Amino acid sequence: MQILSNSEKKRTDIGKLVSETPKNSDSVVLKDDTPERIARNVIIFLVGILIVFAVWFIVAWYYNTFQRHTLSFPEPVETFRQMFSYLGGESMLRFSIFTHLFATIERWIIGYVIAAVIGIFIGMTLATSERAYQIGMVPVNILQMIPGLAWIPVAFLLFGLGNNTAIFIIAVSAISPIAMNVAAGIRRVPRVNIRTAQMVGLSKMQMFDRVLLPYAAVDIVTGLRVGMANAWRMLIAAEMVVGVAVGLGYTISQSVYMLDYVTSFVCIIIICIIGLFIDKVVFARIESFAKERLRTEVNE
Amino acid sequence: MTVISVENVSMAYADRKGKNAKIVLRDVNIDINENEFVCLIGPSGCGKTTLLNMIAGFERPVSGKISYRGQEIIEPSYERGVVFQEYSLLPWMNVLGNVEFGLEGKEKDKEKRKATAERYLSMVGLSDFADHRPNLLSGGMKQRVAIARTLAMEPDVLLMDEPFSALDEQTRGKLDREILEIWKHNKRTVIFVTHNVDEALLLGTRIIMLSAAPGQVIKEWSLGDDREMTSERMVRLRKDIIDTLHLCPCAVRSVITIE
Repeated sequence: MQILSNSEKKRTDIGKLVSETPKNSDSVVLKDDTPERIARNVIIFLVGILIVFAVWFIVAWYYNTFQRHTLSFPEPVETFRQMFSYLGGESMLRFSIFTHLFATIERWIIGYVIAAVIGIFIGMTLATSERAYQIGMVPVNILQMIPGLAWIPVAFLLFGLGNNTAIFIIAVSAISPIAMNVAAGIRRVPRVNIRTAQMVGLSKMQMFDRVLLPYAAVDIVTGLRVGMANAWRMLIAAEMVVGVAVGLGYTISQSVYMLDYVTSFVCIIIICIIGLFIDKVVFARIESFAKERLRTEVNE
Repeated sequence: MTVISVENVSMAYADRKGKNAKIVLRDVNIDINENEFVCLIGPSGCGKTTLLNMIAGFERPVSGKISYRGQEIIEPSYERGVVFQEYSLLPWMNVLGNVEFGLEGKEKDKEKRKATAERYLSMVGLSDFADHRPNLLSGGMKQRVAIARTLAMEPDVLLMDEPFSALDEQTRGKLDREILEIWKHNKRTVIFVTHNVDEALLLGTRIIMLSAAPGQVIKEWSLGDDREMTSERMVRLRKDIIDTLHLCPCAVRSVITIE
């Protein structure tokens, strides 16, 4: 039997398809969703997950066997059992797990939308001229260098304790990556395309709408994605410290004080799953859509 | 009538550190008349493209004045359509969309825009590719779409900046002849930058040679309608141009009219 490498196999597969298509056709349809391919991706994913659980299990086992004083380290099985019971309706810190989850997501969406609007506006302003960029990048870099939680004194002064403080911290940590990427994306637009639009007689606003923003779409999505990840991380940290009464971050810190480590582990898992979903499913789709629209990979 | 007049124009660019400026053009004077097909030739780096960009209005000279029909040029306008050296199509629009884009500043009616774009697309022979994305086209086809886009604007002056320099010799020759046909049927003022003497001889009614930087007009030739490249007159002219190109870039201006 002949053993083929992956790329060879793909090549011969295409060769077979070509010989099967009618002579007057100039393209073949490659089926990308063959069962083997899907199975391979599922296996890759499962092995990755397995490594995470193995490390978790070994640490838990080591701690519980050799280092345990009073509290036990939650093990995967125990944690998931507790998670399903919370998902089934058991109350977690006075509320259902869904109430905590929605409170967290609501905060995140409000903070993130504010950051996106401000970030895109700043990015577009920075891209209007070289001088605006040089001046504007100074505050944006300063903003970038201040860790989210360091804004706590500012946030307390402006908003006091509670929800708005959390939203402020979320927003402020997502603005600079969004602004930077929007500005960089617009500045990367080839000069010849800007000149074409000038020659055609487009106004500045039309130029943004018809040329600059579409060209920068991929960078804008990248900025929104990085901003999203920043906001998501800051969200949990902010909830842990600024005194909100509901939310996943709040639940982590409270359950630690109450020595209920299993509950905090449940929250960590849920946070991780949602973060992964938003990044790998939602944003990856938007990004590949933007790339497809632009055809950046194969253009020139 | 003079359509474009370049008066004592000089241009210089500051270097990256901002300490020195490189002089690209010095005291250039050119008058271009209605329906002339002017080819600008010269060694690379002599400021041909810079001159074209200034005529288009993308850049302004550091001294001197460039006017279009008596009005000083201060910004780009759809009266002066440019075909760029680089590929300049918008990658997310299909071929027809790119041609229509040329009309966006001028024609508000979408239907009319589409009809005009289709007409010019068929003029460059690419009607069959109307809904293809630019990335599926060869270099020659991309430039033809760019030409259709600029022609669709129906500009008074057509500025072409080495539009075929990235293409192979065969494609270039074919497109040169197409340009000539289009110009013959649809006379207008054309300024065509090239470093290819044969291309200039084939296309131009007038050839202007710039010296190496700082660019100055060193010589110009007026041609008739004879495009027979093998005729004795054309062979002599070609030799003269090549000889001048090889000479030192002396700033002597002379006009030779060959009957």
